[in-house]
Amino acid sequence: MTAPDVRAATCTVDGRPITLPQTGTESLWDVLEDHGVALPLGCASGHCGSCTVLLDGVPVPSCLVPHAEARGRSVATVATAADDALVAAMAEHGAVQCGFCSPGIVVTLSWLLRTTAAVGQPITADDVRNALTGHLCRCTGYTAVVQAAVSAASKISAASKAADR
Amino acid sequence: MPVPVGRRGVRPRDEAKLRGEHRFAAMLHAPGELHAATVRSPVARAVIRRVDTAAALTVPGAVTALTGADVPGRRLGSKVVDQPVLADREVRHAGEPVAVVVATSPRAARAMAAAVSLDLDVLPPLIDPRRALGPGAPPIGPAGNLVATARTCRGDARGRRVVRRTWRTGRQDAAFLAPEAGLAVPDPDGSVHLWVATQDLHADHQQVCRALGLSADELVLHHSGIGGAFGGREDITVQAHLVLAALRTGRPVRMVYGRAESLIAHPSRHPMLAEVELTYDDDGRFVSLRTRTLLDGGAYAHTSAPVTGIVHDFSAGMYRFAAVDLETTAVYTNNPPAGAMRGFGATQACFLIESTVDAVAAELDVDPVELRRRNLLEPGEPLATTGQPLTGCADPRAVLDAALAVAEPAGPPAYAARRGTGVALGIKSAGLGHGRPDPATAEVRLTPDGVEVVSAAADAGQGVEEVLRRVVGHHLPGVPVAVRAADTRFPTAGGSKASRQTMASGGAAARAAERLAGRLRDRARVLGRPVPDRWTPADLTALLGSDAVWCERVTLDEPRTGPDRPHKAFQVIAHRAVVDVDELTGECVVVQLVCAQDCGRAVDPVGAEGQLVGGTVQGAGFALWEERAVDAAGRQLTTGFGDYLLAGATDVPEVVPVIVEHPHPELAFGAKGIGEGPAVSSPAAVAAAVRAASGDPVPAIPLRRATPRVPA
Amino acid sequence: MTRHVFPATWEQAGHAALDGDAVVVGGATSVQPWLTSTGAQPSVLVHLRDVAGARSVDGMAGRLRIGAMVPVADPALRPVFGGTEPVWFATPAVRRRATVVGNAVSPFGPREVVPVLAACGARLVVLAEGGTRSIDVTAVPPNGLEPGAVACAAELAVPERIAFRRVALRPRLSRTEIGVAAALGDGCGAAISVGVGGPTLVVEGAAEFLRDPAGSPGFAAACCSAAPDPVRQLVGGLAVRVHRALHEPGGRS
Repeated sequence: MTAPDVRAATCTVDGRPITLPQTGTESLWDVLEDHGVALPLGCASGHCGSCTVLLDGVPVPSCLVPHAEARGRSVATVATAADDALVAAMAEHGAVQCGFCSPGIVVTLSWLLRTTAAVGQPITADDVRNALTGHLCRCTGYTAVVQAAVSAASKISAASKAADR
Repeated sequence: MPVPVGRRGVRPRDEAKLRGEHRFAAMLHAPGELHAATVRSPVARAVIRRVDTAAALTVPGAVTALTGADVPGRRLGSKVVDQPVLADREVRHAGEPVAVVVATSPRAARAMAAAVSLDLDVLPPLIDPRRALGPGAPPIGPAGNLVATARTCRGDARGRRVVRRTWRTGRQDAAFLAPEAGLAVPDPDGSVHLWVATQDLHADHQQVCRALGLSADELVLHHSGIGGAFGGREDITVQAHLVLAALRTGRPVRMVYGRAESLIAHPSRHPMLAEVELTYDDDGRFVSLRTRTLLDGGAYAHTSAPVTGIVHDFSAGMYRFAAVDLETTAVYTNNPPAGAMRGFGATQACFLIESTVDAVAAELDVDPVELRRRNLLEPGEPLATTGQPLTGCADPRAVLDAALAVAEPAGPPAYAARRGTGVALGIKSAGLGHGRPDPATAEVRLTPDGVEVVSAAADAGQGVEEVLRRVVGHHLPGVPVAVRAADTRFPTAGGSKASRQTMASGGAAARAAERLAGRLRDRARVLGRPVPDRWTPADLTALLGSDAVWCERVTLDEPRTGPDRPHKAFQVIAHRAVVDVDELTGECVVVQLVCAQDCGRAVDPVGAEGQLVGGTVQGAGFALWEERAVDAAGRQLTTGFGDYLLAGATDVPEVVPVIVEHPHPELAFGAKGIGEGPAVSSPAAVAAAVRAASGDPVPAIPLRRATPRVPA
Repeated sequence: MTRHVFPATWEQAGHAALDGDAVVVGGATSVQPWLTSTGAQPSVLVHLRDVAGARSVDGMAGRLRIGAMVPVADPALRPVFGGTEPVWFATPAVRRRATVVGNAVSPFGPREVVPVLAACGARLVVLAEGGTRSIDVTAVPPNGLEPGAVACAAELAVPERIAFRRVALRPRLSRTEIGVAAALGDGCGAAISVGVGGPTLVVEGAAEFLRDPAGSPGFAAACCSAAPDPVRQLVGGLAVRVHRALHEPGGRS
C-alpha cells in the first residue's frame, strides 16, 4: 500500500492562511519569505535563533522546520507573538543594538514570560539566560536583555496580582 | 523630544527593531529583481586557466555569468588598490570570488554557481607569514610580500632583569549577525542605485566607481538596515558585484550571503605573532621594550597598513620605558585576508604588552595590579611609542580603580575548578589619526515643525543616530529632532569605524545646531522677543518668519592630527576578568567581566553601557573560543556557528560596565568615541585570569581550553 | 522535486522509506539544515510525525520504549537524563524538536545522546526490508542506517541512578569531545565517547565497580582501558567524577 502523500498544504501565519508548497526542500523560513514575511536569517542552521517563530505556540527557529512540517499548524511571528511589556523593557534597558537578533529573542522571551506567568512562577536571570541559549546576539553581550526580561516579568506579575485583587 | 545628553532614555528606533519592522539589507526587493551568487576559489593559490560558465548558463532561470574576463585589471582596495573585482589570471586565497552568476531565483543562482567549472593550475601556497619575506617565497602582493612596516627606536637603556615571550593571537571574525546583502537597481538615467549594509557609504562609492570605471554620478549608494558591523563591513564584498550585475542585465539584482560565505567573504582580525623582550630593574621598574611583531595580512592589503600602525603605536601600552625598539610588520600570504575588526590592532597590541607585564609580575612575584601602578604613565607624560602626551583622557589609575571597585563574584568556584582573576589595561586612539583626512559633514534643517539632522553616518547598531538626535536637541531645547540617513549625493560622514562617529558626526551636528540656536537668539533680539528655555512651534514660526527652513551644514575634522599629534583622542580601558578553570579538563568558565572605560562624556549612557558590555564579550570570545580555522593548505575549515563559537548568554553570566567620564577638552560635550575600547583589553584580562587560575602560560589565543594540571 | 509523505503506520513508513533516496524525518533539526546547506533534493521526505504510537513513551518492568518522535526534552525521559532536561544537548528549541531516536541514528551531526543511552543498555528497533530487528545503540554506522531502514523506537533500562560527565569547550552549545556515562540498574552499565562525532564505546565489566561505593578506581581503570592513549587520563578523571556522582547524588562533582 502507499502512504498518503498529499495533505492540506496550508498553515496560518499570524492568523492569516497561507498555502505551503506540495513539494521541495525549502524550510519554513524560505516559504515565509516567499509570502513576504521577512524574518532575519543569521545562520540557517538553528544556532542563532534570529528567525524564531512560534509553531503551534512553541518557539522554534523557522530555518529548522521543513515547510511540510508546518502543514495544518499555526505560525506566529514577532508581529503577533511579542509581549508589549517585554518590548518596552528591552527598549528601556538598551537590549537592542543592531536589532537583527531581536525579533527572535522577543518571540522566545515573550513565550517564556507568558508560560511562567501562567503557572505563577517568578523568573530569575538564570531562567532568562537558559531560555536565551540558542539565541546569539553579537552586539549587546546579553546583560541588558536579561535585565529587561526580569524587569518585564516582575511588572507582568505585579499587574496580574493587581488584577487578581 | 530627544532625551537630554547624559540621561538614560529609550532610543526611538529600538521598538521597531524589536517588533521586526526594521528593514535589513536582505529584506529589500525590487520589482523584476534578479538574484546573484558568487563562485569562489576552492584553493589558496592557483593560476586560472579557464572559468567555464557554459553549463551554468544552461540552468533553467540562468541570466548571465560574470568572470574576471569581464572586468580585467579592475581592482578594489581602500588603502592599496590590489584586489580584483573578480579574480583574473590567478587566485590568491581560498574563497576568493572568481565569478558572479545571475538568475531569476536564488535557487537557480546557486545551481548556476555549482555548475561553473574552474580549470586551475594549483600552486603551492604561502601559508606561514614567517616565510613571506624570506628567500624563495612566492610573490603574492603586487610588489613583493611586504604590506607595511613600522619601526621605532628610542634610547638604549637596559634593565638588570629580562623577560622574553612569544605571543600569538588568532583569526577572529566580526561575525555580525546579518550576513552581507545588497540590492542594486538600475535607474532609467543610466545610473545605478545600490542599497547595502556598510560602515562607510562614501568609501564604498569611491572604490566601486574606481574599480568599475564609473563616474561619481553614475552610482548612488544608500544605507539599508545594518545588522552589526564591528569592522567587518569596512571592505567591499557584494557591492561591486551587484553594481556590475545590474549594469550588465539592466535589471535590479540582489544578493544575500549565507553564514558560511559570510565567514570567508570579509576580512578577519589579523593573526599576530610577536616576540617581546621587556627589561626591568629589581624594583619592578620597566626599562626597555623590544618587539618584533608580524601580522598575517592574507592575500590582499585591505586595512593592513593602518592596522600595522595601530598595533605599533599601542604596543607599549600606557607604560613608561626609557628605551624602545619596536618593529611591526604586515605581510601578504595566501591565507584569507585580514583587515578591520573592532580594536583594529590595539587588541593584539594589548594582549602582547599586558601579557608581558603579567609575566614580569610572575617573575617578581608581585601583584600584577601593583606592578602596573608602578609603571603607568602619569597624565601628560608621552607615550613610549609615539611620544604623544597622554592627555584628554582619565588617569589610567583612575580607570583601573573604577574596575577594581566592583565587587568580585561571591560563592566558591565550581567543583574541582580553580578561580583566577586577571586585569588588563587598554589604550586605543579614536579617529583615524596620523594626519589622515577624517571629515564628517552633517546638516541640520530647522522648520517651525522641528529639526531634521541629515547625515550619511552608518548606524550599525552602535547608536550614532541617537547621538545625533541628542546633541542637536541639546542646542535646540523643546524642538523635536528627526534624523534622516543621507545617500552618497550628500557629503561624507566618514566611516563608522575607528570609534569616530560620536566625535566626528556628533561634533559636526552639534556645531550646526549651535549655529542655528545662535541665529534664533539673534533673530529674537532683533524682533525684541524673549529667548525661551524651550522653543515652541509658535516661537519658531515667529522667528523663522517667511523662511521655510533654516539650514546649517558643517564639515568637521577636529582636532587635527599630524606628526606631532598622531591621534585625536585616546580610549582608556580597564578590564577585570574572573574565570574558573577545571583542574582536570582545563575547561574555562567565565564568571564575571568588568569593563571600565573613560568615555569622556556618555551622551547616551544606556548606549555606552551597551558598547562596554558587548565589546567586552566579543573580547572574551576572542580569548577563549572564536577562530576561523584555516588548514595547512590555506583552506578555511570554519563554516558556521557550529564551529565558529560565539558566546551565548550562559557563557558570560555577569558583565559589569563602568562608565568613567573625563571630558575631552577639544570635543563636543567632551565626548569621545568608545566603540572599540571594550574589545581592546578584555581578551588580555581573560587570558590573565586563566593564567592565575591554572598556571597555563596562555601564549596563544583563542585558548579553547587550558592545559590541565597534571595530578601529582 | 522532493515529495513529502506522512505515513500513519510503521508499515506505511517502512514502505515509503524504500522509495529511491528517501530521507526519514523525525524532529528535522538536522535534516533541514542539511537540505539547506547542501541543496540536496532527495526523492521523498518521510515525515514520522503522524505515525501512530511514535510519540509515546511506554514503561514496563523497569524498561522504557521511546517512540521515534519523542523529543529530547520530553519530561517522560527525565529519568534517563538524571532527573533533569539535558541542557548539554543543543539548545532549548532544538531539544523540544530533536528526537532521541533520530539523534541516535543521524548521519548529519554528532550523536550526543548515545553515551547516555548506551549506559542504559539501549537498543534500537529498526524496521527494514527484511523485517524488524534490534541493534545496539552504539552499532549504528557513522553514515546512518542503511537506505530504506527506519528506526522506530529505542528500548532501554530505566536507571536507578545515572551520571554523565563530558568535556566540551563550553558547558552548553558546544559538542561533547569526551564523555563518560554510567548508570546503576538492571541492564545498565557505562559508556565513553571520544572525539566530536566519534564512536561511543561500551565499557565492559563496569557494572560491578559502579555498584560498589569504593569501586571508583576499578571503574576508572575500566574506562581507561577502553579509551585511546592520548585521552586516557582525562577519561579516568571523568570516570572518577561519574562514580562519585552516582554515590553522592547530592554532592558536587
